[in-house]
Amino acid sequence: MKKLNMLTIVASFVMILSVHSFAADTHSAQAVKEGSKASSHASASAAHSIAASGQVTSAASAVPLAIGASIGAVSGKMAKNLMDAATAPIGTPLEITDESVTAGPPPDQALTQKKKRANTNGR
Amino acid sequence: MKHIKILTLLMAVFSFILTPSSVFSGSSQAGGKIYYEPEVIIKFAKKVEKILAKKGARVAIIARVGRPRNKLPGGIKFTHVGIAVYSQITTADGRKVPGYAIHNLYQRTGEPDVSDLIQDFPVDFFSGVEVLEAGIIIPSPELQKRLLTVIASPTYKDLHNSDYSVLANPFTLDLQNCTEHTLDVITAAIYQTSDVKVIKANEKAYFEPQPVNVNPVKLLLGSMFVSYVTTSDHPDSPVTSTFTTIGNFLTQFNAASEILIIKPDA
Repeated sequence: MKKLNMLTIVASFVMILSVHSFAADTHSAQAVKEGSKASSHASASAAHSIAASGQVTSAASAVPLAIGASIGAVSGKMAKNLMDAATAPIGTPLEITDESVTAGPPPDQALTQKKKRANTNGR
Repeated sequence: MKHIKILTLLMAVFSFILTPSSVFSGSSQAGGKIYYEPEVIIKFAKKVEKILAKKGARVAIIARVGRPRNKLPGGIKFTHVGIAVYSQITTADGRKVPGYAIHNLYQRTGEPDVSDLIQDFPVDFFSGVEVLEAGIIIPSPELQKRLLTVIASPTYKDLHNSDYSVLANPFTLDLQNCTEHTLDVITAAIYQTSDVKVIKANEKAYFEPQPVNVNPVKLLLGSMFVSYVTTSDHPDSPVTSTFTTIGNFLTQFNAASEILIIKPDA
């Protein structure tokens, strides 16, 4: 009986740990864990690491080009090359920026990051 | 009392056998751990964009591998699916550049049984993957046109059900995951309808889902302890939609121009 009591205690402990790792292995749970920590290099989130690399450009918005083409035709604000791309038959090779664009980190992480000086080099 | 102790022992044995468990990886935004150097991810993401652009894809179904393949259930090769759309991107400093934006259904951080429709970009999309590989379905030109129409319309958001289940049944309306929403958008485009009853009827008629090959005990434990794992929306044996089954569906009905797998340069 004493052995069974001991086994039960150990078993309960294993079960609690197992369930915790079961949930913790998911993407979402990791995101919660990472998001709750202060931004440190040791536990840097994916979004934070990408942003900190300095090799990406933040995006403000994106409009599907085929739709944007009709708006651009009215407003005249769309560059000609983009208008040509938007109206060319599907399957025609498209122009792509060499810049890597990112949406940036989730708001809770963005709030822990210090403001960077604006890049005025322009590319 | 003795029975309870024995039951506790048995459940612990099962739990021990079933761990570590990363079977139920959901769809999350770029806030988790990073497994590759940023430069590697950035280079790979740009490679994917350039291939899509070279093929002239206005719209493509795009998938990523969030977990090592040997930890995924049988028949499932990708853990998250989105829709890549060729777009005019306005940068934070006001410039307009051409590139791909990705339309996703992501679990909400801190509330994994709730999802949101979130737009990001290829770098974000691949930032937290454990396997650097992209699955791409380029729809036929006609389907691309119709998809653009749906994505720009209220239908895209109307088809979203924020009650999330990682193993959502694609034929029911109770719960939804990223692949089901993508499938619904595709079906809406094919049949040019916003009527979810019509969408589901056609999916039941023509779409072959993936049986969920997960140990029933693991599934039971998962549904007990993980909020976004449930089989409550599965009247029979659990089935779900995947990147592969969506690809098969579009191929079968001549609605896919090309399906390809992109890996990093050696």
